[in-house]
Amino acid sequence: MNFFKTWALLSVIAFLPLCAFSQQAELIWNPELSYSWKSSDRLGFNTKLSIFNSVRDFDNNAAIQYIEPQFSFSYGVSPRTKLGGGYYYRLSTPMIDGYQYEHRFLQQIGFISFIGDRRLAHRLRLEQRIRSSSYQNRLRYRLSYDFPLQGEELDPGETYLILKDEMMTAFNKDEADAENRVSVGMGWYFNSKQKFELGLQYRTQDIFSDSGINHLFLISTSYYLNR
Amino acid sequence: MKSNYLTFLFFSTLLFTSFAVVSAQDIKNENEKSINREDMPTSSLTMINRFWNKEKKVDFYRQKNGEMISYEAKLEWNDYQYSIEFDSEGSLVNVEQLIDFNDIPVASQNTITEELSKQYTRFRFIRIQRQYSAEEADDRYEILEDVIDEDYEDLIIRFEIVVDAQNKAVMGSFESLFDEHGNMIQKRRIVRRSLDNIW
Repeated sequence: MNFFKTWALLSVIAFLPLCAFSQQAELIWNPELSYSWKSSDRLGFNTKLSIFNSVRDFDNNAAIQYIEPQFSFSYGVSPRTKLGGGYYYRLSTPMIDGYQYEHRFLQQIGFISFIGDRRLAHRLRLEQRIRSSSYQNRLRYRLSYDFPLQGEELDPGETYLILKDEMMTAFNKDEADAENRVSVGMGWYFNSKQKFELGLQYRTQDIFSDSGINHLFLISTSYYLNR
Repeated sequence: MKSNYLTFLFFSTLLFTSFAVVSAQDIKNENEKSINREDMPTSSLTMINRFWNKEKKVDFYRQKNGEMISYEAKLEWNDYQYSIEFDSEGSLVNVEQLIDFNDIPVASQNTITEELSKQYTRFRFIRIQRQYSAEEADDRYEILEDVIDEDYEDLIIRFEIVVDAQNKAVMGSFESLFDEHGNMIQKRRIVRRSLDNIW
């Protein structure tokens, strides 16, 4: 286990220079603020504001790529299985004339396993993306694993690591493509109501495209609040 | 517009960071930390060393609950996982053994299942521990020796059972303590961490 933790930490360190010096790939800073609450043991809600900032364009009007307010809900079918849905609105390049928008609807199912305070989550999501210029479906599968770095339980004031991999296919009547997102992050668990995560994600985009694969590195800073 | 946006991002980050640091300092009442063998109270180590040599793999933890401090040694022995709890002075409190539901006597199994069926429409066993303790504080130092000798006569035996359970009104994980006959003594809800970052 110690080897695994060390490996994960090294990955975090290794990603940083890769992001900073990669000349081919796009580099994004993604700040997020999330607020979740439950109205019963079964029913939970989440709102989130997510912003995509292009690091290379920070000195011009293309700095903000997207602003995305999100709303989702979940219903616990069992203590470890959840069904859910949501709506996201995406405003693209708001500081440039002729901005574009997207309405996104999603349906999802998740399974969570606990090994002590280590958590393994599977999530299958279907999305309908209604854009100002096109329509697209997306099918996504994500595997997430987080675990405390001090002791067997995650206590207030301690840190944790989170690893994720998500595979997805995007398609409509004219075309289809695929993408993979692998990420590693470190979290600071302040208490049961607040935590902060610093994440590094590598996206392999347009896998089946004739024009070649696109690479995107994303640094996320996410603050989670719970009621 | 761009400079306003950058200023907004900077101050938002600053505000949330400060908020988090203050909160992290305010709340710190329950905590479990992995520690080294040397950080355990001497008397607890003396007891462990009586039965297992220093080569034996043992994980040590310090728990802090408000002002109360306790220590735990976790080890595998005879195909069972044991958790041995000590108070802040290093005196033995109890010994817990990780078991399967089928390790519980059949009559007690039936009473436990009956009790859980009354409370929930569906439930699933997640973790079962047999807990050995002593009636009198003076007898606690003998608990470990009695467990190793399989001499349970003077010990209080209880079962600590974690279930995932649901009925019309509630759903979640619950930890219940049963006596050796399977009668429920206490129950508490396990508050899990929010799933918002992995869901």
